[in-house]
Amino acid sequence: MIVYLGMPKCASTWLWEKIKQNFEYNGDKEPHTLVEFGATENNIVDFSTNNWSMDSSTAKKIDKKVSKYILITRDPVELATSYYLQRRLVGESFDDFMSTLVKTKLLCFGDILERWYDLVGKDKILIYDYNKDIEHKQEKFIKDICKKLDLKNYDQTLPLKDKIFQTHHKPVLRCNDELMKILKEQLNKFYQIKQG
Amino acid sequence: MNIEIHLRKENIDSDPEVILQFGDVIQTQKIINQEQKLHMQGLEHNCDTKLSVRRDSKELYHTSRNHHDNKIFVDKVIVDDFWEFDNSFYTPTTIFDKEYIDHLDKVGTDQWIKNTVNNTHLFFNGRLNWDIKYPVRRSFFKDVNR
Repeated sequence: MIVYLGMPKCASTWLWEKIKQNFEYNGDKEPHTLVEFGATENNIVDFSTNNWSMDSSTAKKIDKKVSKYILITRDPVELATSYYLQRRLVGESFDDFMSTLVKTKLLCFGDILERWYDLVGKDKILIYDYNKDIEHKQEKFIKDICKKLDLKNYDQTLPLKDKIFQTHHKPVLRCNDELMKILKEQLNKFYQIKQG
Repeated sequence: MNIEIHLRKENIDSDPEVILQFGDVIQTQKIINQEQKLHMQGLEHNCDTKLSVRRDSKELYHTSRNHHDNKIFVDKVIVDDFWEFDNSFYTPTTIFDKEYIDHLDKVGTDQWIKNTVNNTHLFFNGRLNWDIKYPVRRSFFKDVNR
């Protein structure tokens, strides 16, 4: 089984569309059953972008079935901007939105990686950075991940660039210094754990 | 599942007791240090369950005070070694014991006590309650509205 741990807004739909032909599975890309019911929906693949937040008991329960986990991160402010434009509440400021994403851990990449290394070890987790590994290197990325997932092929008809470059016309938003400090600490923690 | 509770007491003049409860699991612990971490480990969590931190020091009822001298502050609760709840995120619900309410009727209450609904300070006899849903993220992520 292949499990996409996260994150949202990191080209998971594009990736799913490229590789889904490899799986004998016709269900939803994101069944969300692991995070809502603590159970797998199938034994083949799960691309729910909130899988990073499943209970530890669920993670330990499914780990035997999982061959690879995929974790794609992205510049947290850019990720939050994309999310904010889609999901903000009426009158909600970017700072308030960011603060919620920090409290609910969605932008705490260091804590997330630490948790998953503790839960399942590091060997099965494939880590990519949207900005460094995907944004302008889609072809290289798709070949690399297919190889690591032991997939025979990917959809060559789906344009590589369409999805990725949609982000170029989005506004540049900034959050306050206190939030930036937390994000920097989390990124430092993430890289230290990844390299360690 | 593990739960870690970070507590602090107001002064070192006494060692108040707190009662931790998660579902059927109950632990009573003395707060000896000014700051203390309490651990509940290996908990079964397969359905929505209440976590409570309770105080039930009967000596308060032999005084004319309407709150404990030595308050206990719940600074942080870490659930499943990951999620962190504090006074700014997923604050607990405050529930006064009936005996405490009866005591307030005798000694008099204050507006700040009446205003306490969501709070992390155990100045009273009663409990702070957190609803820990199964899976935990359902406690605060509203997936049902996705």
